[in-house]
Amino acid sequence: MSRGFDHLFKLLIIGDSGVGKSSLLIRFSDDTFSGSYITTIGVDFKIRTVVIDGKRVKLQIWDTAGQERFRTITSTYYRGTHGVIVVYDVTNGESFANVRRWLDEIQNNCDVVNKVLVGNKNDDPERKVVITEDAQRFAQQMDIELFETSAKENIKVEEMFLSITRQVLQHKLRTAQNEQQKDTINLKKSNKPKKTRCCS
Amino acid sequence: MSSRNKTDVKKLFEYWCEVSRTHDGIEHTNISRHSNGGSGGYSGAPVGVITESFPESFRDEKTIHDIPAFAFPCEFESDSVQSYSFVLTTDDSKWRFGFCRHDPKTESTMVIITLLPWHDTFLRLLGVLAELRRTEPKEFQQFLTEAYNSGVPDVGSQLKLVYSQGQSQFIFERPKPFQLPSIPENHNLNLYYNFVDPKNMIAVFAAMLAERRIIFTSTRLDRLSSCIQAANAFLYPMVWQHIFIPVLPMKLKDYLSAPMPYLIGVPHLVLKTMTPEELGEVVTLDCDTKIFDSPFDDVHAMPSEIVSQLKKQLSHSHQHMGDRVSKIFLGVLVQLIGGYRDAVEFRETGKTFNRDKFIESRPSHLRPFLTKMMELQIFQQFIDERLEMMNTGLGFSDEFEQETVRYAEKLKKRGRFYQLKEKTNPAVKTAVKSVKESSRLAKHAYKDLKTKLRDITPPNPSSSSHLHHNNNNNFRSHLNSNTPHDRLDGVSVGSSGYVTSASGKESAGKSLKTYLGRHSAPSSPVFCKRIGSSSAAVFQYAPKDQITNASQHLRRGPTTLAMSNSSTHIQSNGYAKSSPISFNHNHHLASSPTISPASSLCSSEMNLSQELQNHPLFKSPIVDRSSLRSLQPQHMTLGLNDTTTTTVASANTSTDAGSHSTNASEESMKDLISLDDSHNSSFDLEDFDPLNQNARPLPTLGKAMNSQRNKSTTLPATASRTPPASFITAANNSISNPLYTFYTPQHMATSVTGQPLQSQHAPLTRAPGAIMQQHQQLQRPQQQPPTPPSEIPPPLPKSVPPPMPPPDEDFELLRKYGLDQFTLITTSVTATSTSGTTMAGTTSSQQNGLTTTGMQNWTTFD
Repeated sequence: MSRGFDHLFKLLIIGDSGVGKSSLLIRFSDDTFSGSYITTIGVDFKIRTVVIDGKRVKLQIWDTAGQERFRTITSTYYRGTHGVIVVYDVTNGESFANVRRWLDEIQNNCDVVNKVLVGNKNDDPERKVVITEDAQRFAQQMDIELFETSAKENIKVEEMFLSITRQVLQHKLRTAQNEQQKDTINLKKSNKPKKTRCCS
Repeated sequence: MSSRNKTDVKKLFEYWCEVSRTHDGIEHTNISRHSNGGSGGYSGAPVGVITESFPESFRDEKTIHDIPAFAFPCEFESDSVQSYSFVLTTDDSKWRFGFCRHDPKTESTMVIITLLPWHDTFLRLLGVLAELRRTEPKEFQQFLTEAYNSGVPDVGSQLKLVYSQGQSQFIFERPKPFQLPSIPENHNLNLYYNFVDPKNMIAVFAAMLAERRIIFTSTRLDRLSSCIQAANAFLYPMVWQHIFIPVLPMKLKDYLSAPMPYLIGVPHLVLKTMTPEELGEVVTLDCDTKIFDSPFDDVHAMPSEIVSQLKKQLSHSHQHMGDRVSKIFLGVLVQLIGGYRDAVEFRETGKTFNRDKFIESRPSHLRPFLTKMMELQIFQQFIDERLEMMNTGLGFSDEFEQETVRYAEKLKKRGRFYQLKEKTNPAVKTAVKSVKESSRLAKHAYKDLKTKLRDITPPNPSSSSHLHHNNNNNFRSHLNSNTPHDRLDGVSVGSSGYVTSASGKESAGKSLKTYLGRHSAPSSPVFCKRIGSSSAAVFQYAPKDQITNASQHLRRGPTTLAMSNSSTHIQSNGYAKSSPISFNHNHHLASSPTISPASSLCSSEMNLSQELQNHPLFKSPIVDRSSLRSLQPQHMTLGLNDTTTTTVASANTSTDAGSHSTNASEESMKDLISLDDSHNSSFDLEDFDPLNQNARPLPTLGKAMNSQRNKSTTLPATASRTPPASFITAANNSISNPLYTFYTPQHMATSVTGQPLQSQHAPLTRAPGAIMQQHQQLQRPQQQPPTPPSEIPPPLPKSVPPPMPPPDEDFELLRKYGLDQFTLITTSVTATSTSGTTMAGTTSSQQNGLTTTGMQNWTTFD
């Protein structure tokens, strides 16, 4: 592994299959190869190193196959991650419903604080069924940032990834600062980034 | 759905190939085209190339590309042929299996890719393929094609493939969908059991119940993949929902840094290349060194009762043959989540699961852990699956549901945690309960019996007649049970009791068959016959040799051990009859030889009885009658089996069936023919009361016995059960009934004030008395003047069993010191009851020989 980074963040990308998670990752990733995406072992990840506020941040973005079979994704799934990218398809109402359910679960049961909501395939107004206002209202209610992207047209993909990365970084720095006053949950969180830094 | 196995598989396998190792160290061009994006940096792995494959129509590029890496995941020890498996995950998260057979001589690996999780079948198939390939290469392709085109056998059917010019066959039966892995049939479990000690099994189990990132490592691929598979199987009825890679190739090692939960088998060489930082907080088990390492204390987080239960049960290694080990873990999950139905709520949208309600409904010591369990993906998927099955109206009954019912029944029954008590026959209890609820019906049945009894002629062992009278015998013995005078010869009574049970079984067996259809219970008529024969033998006072055979038979194998324990227990506290029954009465369970007295998990009847209890049809009059009849038979049946080496299981089943012979109403009616009400006037309830001085003498049971005898067939005994000591004694005609002295007075005392809880035990406690009575009646023609029961019999269903704490405590003590394990008594004199309750020591000279032999398989403690 290359050691040219200050932080290593592990992010999860969740959403029904078909919402364009892989396209988003491929668009974002360093790796230009765009062949088969999910491996034969049902999981894949993409890597990219970005620079934010002068810090080199290595991102690992993980995806697993067949998430739509989960009515809820429970907290254990998010346990080791720094942030979550929640993707739905603006042309598919059902994918949005799934996302709402999953986000509810995250909100109620998970320690994950860094997350971003992504409505992908936002490139054809004709087919759009999840209107921006609804999504926006939901995002505010969940206290989460919304991006309507198009991996195909490369719309807002970069912004979205940078946003979640910045969130995670700031969260990490903040928790590191307040480490001693933090409750156990945050302590745990702050430990992980530290570890990854060591391993760099 | 929680299952990750494909359900609609059409092909036995999808792909076969042989992968050879290349020595140049450079990936073959065919397979190196696609490099794994983002995860580069692997090295040191041997490189394989597919040299031959079948069929050509298989075009899954991704899979074909990855097969060589899984066939040669890294350098590995290959001093001998090694069989292992890997798992690929399809896009919809289902599992696709790769079964491998590596031959060090050719440095090649044969691989079968299939969607069917039949490990043992495919490992066997690989063996055949390799053999064919070596000896008859020409026929190999033909055989492979045939296998490929043979399709998937239906549930319960076989697939037969012929090879070597018809000289040899490859036959396998489609594995049952809910079969628990058992030793030694299950290769994966064998390896896991052999290489991972109980402590680590528990630790891994706990880590999986926390959905950790878990790594198994080993230098051997077979051990690795098998241990991963076996560990996952212990989660049943749940299924690992996360990343699942039984063998991780070197080139995919970067996936070890996945932040999500996973269960990955990592060859030792691959693991060595990873730094602790890359791995992060990961749980590791080294299957070679038996070293378990975890940054968490998941075992401690489990309820301590559960952990100690696991430790205890896993320490009894002599009982671990069969599916016992699987059942130990299943038992824990039953305790934890078996009650999920209590929290299922009915909404307009369908059934939903209420977490809070579930937690509240559980014992307080489990709640903290269960609260965490609610957050498990494996649990979530489990619940979703069950709800979906309920909402779609899909009936389901798997091993888990059955165990759950058993467990619930057990909890209901026991006030304390005596394990042995849990073995009390649930079917009997249920039956009693239901009878109680509909006392009116019970009375009817009672009346019928009375009538019937009247007609019974003195016993004539050799002559055959009224088959249908047998049912009555059962009752009668029951009614008369408490007569003081009967105590002396409770032994022979037992034999008549057996007969009764057998006869009751007649109808019961058939109904059972209907009822248990899905368990694929052996056809009950056969069992009936067997029992009949055995009962006849008993009636003849069980020839010595017969008994001896039976006891020896019983002594063999783990089952025997378990049984002996329970029988000991029985002897002491008078609950005796129930425990033997705890044997499996359905096909499933019968296959599992080990039932430990310490664990409640194994009593399969509970499930059935509970179902029966809830069965709407159960309340019909006919059913009630049959259930009444069945009450006694259950105890008796056991004894029967003991003496005659017949299958107890069948008897049980039939008995149980009798209690709910709703479907087989016709059959029951047959049995009831002789019970017609025309004779009602002849006997009154009081006549059956052992305490009633004015009771009319009851006719003996000879006829019934004879009929049984006629029915008897020479079927070989298929299963053996341990008899309660009392039964054996009875069979041998030995005078002393250890249970009786202790039990009778209490019974009398308590019978008046029947409390619901106690009433459940009623049949059990009463049974000894019944046996004795029976015995006496049988003996009348030969030796004794018929003594009518003169006292008040407890009303059948309502009678309350005496609480028997002292025996239990003693037994517990004995068990603690391991003394509850088989002590064989060779003489009747030494057959003292465990509990310290006095064993009536009166032995008649004539019975001595028999008693002695009968006692051989009987466990007692001095």
